Amino acid sequence: MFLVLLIHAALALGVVAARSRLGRSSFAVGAFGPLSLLVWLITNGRSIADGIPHRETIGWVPSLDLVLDLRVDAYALVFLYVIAVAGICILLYAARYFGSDPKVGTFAGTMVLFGGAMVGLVAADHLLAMFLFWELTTITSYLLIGYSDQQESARSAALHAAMVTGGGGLALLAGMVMIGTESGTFTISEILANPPSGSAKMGIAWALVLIGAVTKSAQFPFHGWLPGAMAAPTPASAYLHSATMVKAGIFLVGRLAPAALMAATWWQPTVLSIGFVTMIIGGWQALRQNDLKLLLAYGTVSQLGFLFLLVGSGEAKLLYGGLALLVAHALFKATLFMVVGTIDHEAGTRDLRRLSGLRTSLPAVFWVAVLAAASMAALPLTFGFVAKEAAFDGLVKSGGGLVALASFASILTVVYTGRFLIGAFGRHHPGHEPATPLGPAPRNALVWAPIVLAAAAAVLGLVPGLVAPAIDAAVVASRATAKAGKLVLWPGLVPALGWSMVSLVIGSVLLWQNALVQRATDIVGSASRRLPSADGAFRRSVAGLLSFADRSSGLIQSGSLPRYIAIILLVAVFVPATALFRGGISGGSMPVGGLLEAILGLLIVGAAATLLFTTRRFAAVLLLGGVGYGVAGLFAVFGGPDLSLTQLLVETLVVALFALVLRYLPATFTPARFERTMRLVVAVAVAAFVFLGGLVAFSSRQAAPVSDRYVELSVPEAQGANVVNVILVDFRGFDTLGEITVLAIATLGVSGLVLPIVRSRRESP
Amino acid sequence: MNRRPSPILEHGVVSAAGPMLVFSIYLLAAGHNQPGGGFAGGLVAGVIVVLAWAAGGPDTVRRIIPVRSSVLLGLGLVVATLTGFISLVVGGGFLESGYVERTLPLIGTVKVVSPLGFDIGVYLVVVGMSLGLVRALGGEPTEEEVGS
Amino acid sequence: MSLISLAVAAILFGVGTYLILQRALSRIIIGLGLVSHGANLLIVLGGGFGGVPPILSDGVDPAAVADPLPQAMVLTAIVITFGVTALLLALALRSYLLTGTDEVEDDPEDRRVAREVHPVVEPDPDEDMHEVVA
Repeated sequence: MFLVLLIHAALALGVVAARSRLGRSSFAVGAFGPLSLLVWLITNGRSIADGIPHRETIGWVPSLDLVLDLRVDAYALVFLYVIAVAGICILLYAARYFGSDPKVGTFAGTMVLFGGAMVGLVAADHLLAMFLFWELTTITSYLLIGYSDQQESARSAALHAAMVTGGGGLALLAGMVMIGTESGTFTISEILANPPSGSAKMGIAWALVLIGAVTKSAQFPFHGWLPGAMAAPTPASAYLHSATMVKAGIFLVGRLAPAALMAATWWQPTVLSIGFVTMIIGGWQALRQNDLKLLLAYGTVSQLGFLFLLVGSGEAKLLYGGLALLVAHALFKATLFMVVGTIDHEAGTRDLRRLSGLRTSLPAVFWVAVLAAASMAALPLTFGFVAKEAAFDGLVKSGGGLVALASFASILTVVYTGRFLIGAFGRHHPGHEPATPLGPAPRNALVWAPIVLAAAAAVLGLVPGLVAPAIDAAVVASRATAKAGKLVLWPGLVPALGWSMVSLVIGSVLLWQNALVQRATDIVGSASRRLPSADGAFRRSVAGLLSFADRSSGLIQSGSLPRYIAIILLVAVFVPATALFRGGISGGSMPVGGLLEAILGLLIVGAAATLLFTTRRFAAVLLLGGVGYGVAGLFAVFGGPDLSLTQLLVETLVVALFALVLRYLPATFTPARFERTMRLVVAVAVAAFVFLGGLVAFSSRQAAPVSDRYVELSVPEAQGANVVNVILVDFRGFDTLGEITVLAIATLGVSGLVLPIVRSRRESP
Repeated sequence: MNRRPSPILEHGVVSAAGPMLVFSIYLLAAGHNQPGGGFAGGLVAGVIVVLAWAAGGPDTVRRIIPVRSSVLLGLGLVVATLTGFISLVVGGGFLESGYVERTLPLIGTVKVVSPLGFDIGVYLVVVGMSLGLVRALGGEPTEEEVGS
Repeated sequence: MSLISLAVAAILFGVGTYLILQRALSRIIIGLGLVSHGANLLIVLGGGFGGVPPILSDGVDPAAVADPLPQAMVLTAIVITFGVTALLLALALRSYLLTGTDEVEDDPEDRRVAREVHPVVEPDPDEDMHEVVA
């Protein structure tokens, strides 16, 4: 498994590195990534489905407990199969979809990287590792949506998606950390075996996790980013935004639901409500779209809502149908996206009002679309029907009228599926209107990649027994229950069949009376536009954030240097001060000091205080020198002759340098403009912090000073009696070497700053 | 404010420069066992530079110390680094110290430690720095450059 | 360490800060010099109660010497401060020669940013965002 991840990473890098040579065949090369996953699944799948999870532990820094734990059970297996099959088909499709844009290789690399991240997300057995892969899918999704970076709409759609899913990711991280610390382990399998019990804190944690899943899987009220994400080139939409990434949230809630149910009683009703609302809103919006891709996107939102409630509710009987429907959805929705991509590619438009007569000009594409659409509308004999029967069966058994709600959403599904087919392939005004002109005949892969998926769906529809064992095993693995449902071609005369048939019939009737439906959606649509929408809320919150940033940066970043320094100093004082003084202040052990110190101290303070009031520059410099000499005296008192000597000499040179520069400057300072009280407050705060901090710090020494060693070793090791000098030139010689380098550079800097300007003035008076 | 060098002051500085230079080198040489060292010694030499400037401006500085500051800076860095490498070649670590003890006629036993070479480098850099700073900042400002 | 010296260091910090919070570059440099003095003093004080100079000639008890490590650090700091002061002086001089003043003016770019306000875009309810999706 780890090898599969490595292959994805290596392919992604390789494809990007060789993008100029590979061109659009980068996608074909990249397809070896999901292919390696498929090979792995075929070799290991059987034992996993038999109930023996595959485990791998890759030590990265084992001593720090930083290991990558991978664990693939039958539940993960279902998702991995979807990732592998959809990945191969879509990458091969993309190899023919794109023109010879040089950026295509980067796009292919990002797709492969995304595929790898998705595999890691599903296979990781550590919450934080899973989170890393989760974020990697967010980032790659951002890059893929924003592929057409010349277009403002693509950029803002990418940002919208990244902000919503990224924000949800932060919530998820917080929730994961809380869960991990509460249960004492971050290993997912251990948490599921021993879930933390319910508490207010755990309630918050699970709510945060749910927010992460809801944003990622485009559930109400965060669904707005998914239609926007259709700005991505169609292969990315098919792979990320219908088949795989948007199912990450569903994977997560399905994986963690058993533990969440133990701690949060609100989990199930919340998940059910979110799912149903999303389902209805998505289906309704799909009725109103004229862009085929947006129609599919809202359809995806609707289907995701259904999957979310089925998989996330925690009920084994719902999970069963949910997983089957997840497989079905991946197959038909990816197919339909590729169909739309092909139409767009050939006809140059996706607007169903402008498309006409494609049934005759693109027959192969048409039949593929029919096959997939039948599955989407859940017509009998399709895999979509089989899966939906299983789901409805679970809902009927759960009771509570859930199945009625789902049937209502199914009616919408039937209607928008019909709109899709008729809009894309039908003739709006037979006989009057010419067929939409097409480009050259579609290249092979544009047609056969969707055919493969559609055919797979058809085969599964007729022989559901092919996939049933995998779903059985997945439910058993994640819920530890016995078989919870069945996948059959003909369910018999059960209530679920009745609900399906009713929704099919009503849907067909509505489709027949399409004009009526359109009028209804128009009326409700124009009314609902006045209502707060998810998009509007997103845009308003972004605008609010920007204006808050404007106001706060206008306050802090005023352009005034004194104010900047004041802010920095105040932060530097108060942040450590609060930490430092929480333990209380006691300076009892500090000696007051001797007479000599007192005299020198008075001299220094006197000179410094005079500095505050002097307006003559030269006097100020002399006072600074006086302070320096006083400090040199204090150094001597504390037993530092070297220091004292150096300080005296440096102070002399500093005064001399000042004197040199002051020859140019005016004799007096201009009066300061910055608020005097503000300066006083900051100065007093700094001084008080230094004094009190010194009290605390100096009276808390416990260990012996490290320099005892230096004193001990100075003569025997370095043949020097002056320990300070020995430290400088021997023990810490490297530091000193660095220091004299700095001095040399500073000198060159001074020459470079001053000499040219002085010379140029002399030459041109 | 074009100043002529004052001959008397200049003469005084030149005659004082010799003993001060000796003192600065003494500080450098004795630094390993007494207060002093490369920094202090170099700074004393820096004071000579300042005094020379005070006596007669940049020209006097050039006359008393006829070396370019960048030469001193570079030489100092080279000497300091080479000392480090020598101990590396001899078999120790970079900048690891060693010593040579010789008995010389008249003077007696002299112990030369390798950090002395390093300290000479420090000394040269500090002298070069003082010289460079005084040369850069010590040019004669023209009338209009002087603020009032 | 002693209370008197600690107070002296604190006052140096305070006066230095007061001077730094002004606009004349030469005053800022002097303030920085005072703060450096205060910091150096503080580090030496951190070495303990002082003692005899750390020069181990015959007859000196190694246990009685002042802590040499802070002294070595401060010695380095003094010389580095010298370099920094020289560089700042050069900057002040250059600034004066070029602009005729050694005052630090407000950063015009920062002022512009501070005044700038992003227009708050009220979403147009009739605009269907998805129509623009290409």
